[in-house]
Amino acid sequence: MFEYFGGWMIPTPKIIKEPTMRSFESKEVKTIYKFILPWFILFCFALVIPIFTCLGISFTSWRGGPKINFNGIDNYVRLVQDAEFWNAFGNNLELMAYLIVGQIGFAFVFALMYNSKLVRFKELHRRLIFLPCLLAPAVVGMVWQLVYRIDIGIFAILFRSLNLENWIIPWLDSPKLVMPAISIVLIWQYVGQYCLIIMAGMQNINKSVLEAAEIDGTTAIQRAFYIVFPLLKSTIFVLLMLVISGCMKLFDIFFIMTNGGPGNSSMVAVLYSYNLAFHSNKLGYGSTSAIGVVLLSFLLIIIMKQFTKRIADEN
Amino acid sequence: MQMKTNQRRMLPASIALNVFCVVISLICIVPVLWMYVSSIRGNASFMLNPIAFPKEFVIQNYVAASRISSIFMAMGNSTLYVIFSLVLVNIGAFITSYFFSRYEFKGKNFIFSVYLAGMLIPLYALMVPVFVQYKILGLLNNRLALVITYFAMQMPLAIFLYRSFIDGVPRELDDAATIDGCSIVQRLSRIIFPLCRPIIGTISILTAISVWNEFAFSVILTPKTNLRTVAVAVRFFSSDIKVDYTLQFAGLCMVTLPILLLYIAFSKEIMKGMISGAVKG
Repeated sequence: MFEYFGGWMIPTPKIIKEPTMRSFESKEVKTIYKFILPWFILFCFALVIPIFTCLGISFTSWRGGPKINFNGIDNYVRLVQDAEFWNAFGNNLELMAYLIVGQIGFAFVFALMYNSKLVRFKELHRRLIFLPCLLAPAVVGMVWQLVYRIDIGIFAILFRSLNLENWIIPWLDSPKLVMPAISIVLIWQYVGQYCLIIMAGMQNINKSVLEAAEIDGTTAIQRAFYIVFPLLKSTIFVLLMLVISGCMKLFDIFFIMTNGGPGNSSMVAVLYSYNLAFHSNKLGYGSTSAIGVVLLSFLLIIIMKQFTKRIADEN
Repeated sequence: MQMKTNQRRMLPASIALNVFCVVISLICIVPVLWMYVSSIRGNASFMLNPIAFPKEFVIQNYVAASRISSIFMAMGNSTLYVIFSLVLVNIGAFITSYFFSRYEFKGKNFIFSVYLAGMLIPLYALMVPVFVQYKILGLLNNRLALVITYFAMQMPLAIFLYRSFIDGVPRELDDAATIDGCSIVQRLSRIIFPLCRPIIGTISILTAISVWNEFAFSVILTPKTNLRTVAVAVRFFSSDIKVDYTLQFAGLCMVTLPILLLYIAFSKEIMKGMISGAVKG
């Protein structure tokens, strides 16, 4: 009976737990595979095998024609020296910095506010801030392209009415401002999701701890920083992973809003390999850079995991 | 008495906090509102004053938008992709998770970690690989290729959600069914699957939204006009000679409307599903 509570009420002896997982006979294993394998093969066909095909092609100079020439590790040597690729990856990192501060920071502040007893219509607010992340990135990109327009855009009109004419710059055409501008779009779109995740994490915090602190005379801001934030550490780690993995795969919003421009100042890694493969027709080298993106994002995730592990160990 | 003074002291803070929350919520929906309000305005009046409530109600934008970019065809395509990937994902993930949850077998960990890796990998880094594969196989511009890709895209998350749900379904039910003489297929389809109704709903909604919104794979795998999805079709509103903003807004509104209706109907389920999905990923 107690097994349904995950065995945490009474340490369940192993002997009782074993029989619930059926011991396998070879006949039964065959049946299991008959059910599972078709789906697994389909999955591998769609997403796993392409990686290996791509790995093979990344050693060639294939341009889509009938002739395929192997050129060893030339592509990889070239990739390591490719300034444009590293510029694109650098843009991903820059974006990551904006999004970590922007998405997680704002989400934390909003979550604290929505948790306050003083706020009315919480449910409505929650629904509204969550709405943008349901929209297609393609739609969001097109709408925000117009929002950033200097003649009909919302920002331009707002600044003009506030007499801040010199704030109106073609944001998306400025090499310096294009990345912050697009990260504002991304923060706008996903902050609701992050906020709700943090709120879910806050519900696990023991209310009596906060009440005790309140009686001891702490302010709301002190409670936020010294009690809520440390207790939310694991949630914050989850969010960091989300930002990092989400950041590496960004494609559509850049493709639609700037296509990497002006120049290469908003080029991101995935868009770069897309352009190589589809615009320059360099399928070989494009595959190399796609593999590069996969490797780099795994590297980032591993570094992040180590980092969080070290922090968790310290406590 | 103590209570009352406390409340009075809190009043300014309360007003400030509420105003702030309202402003945040407004910021979140203003671009969407702008889109819908402008979509029923004439382009001339929009150009004069882009932010204004509509005085006239122009339905022409919608008519013209549907004519220009064959949006209805795209919506039909997207609906088709949604339905097929939804059915595939639900059946596939249900069966896989059932065996993952109930049995210990050789190779289980391997299969599971492959699915897991599918979740960690930056999906769009696979654009070039996937394209190359279907180019070699000659399956470009084939609906099947896109459906399989969407199925695989949704599978890891669906398995996670199904598995944690089925873990909570009592094993005694399986045993009872077996003793009563149910075959494995009957056990799955008649006993366990109906119990999974809540999670089926969640996964269907999540799959529907992400397939409807998907852009990148549709761009590379089905570039043909009559196969493209809504997210791709919206780009072609602006390819007219004279840029007509309100027409473009009308198109965007049409594409977004199904999602918004779904959200209005199932906002709780959608929020819950997307959050558990995001955290598990």
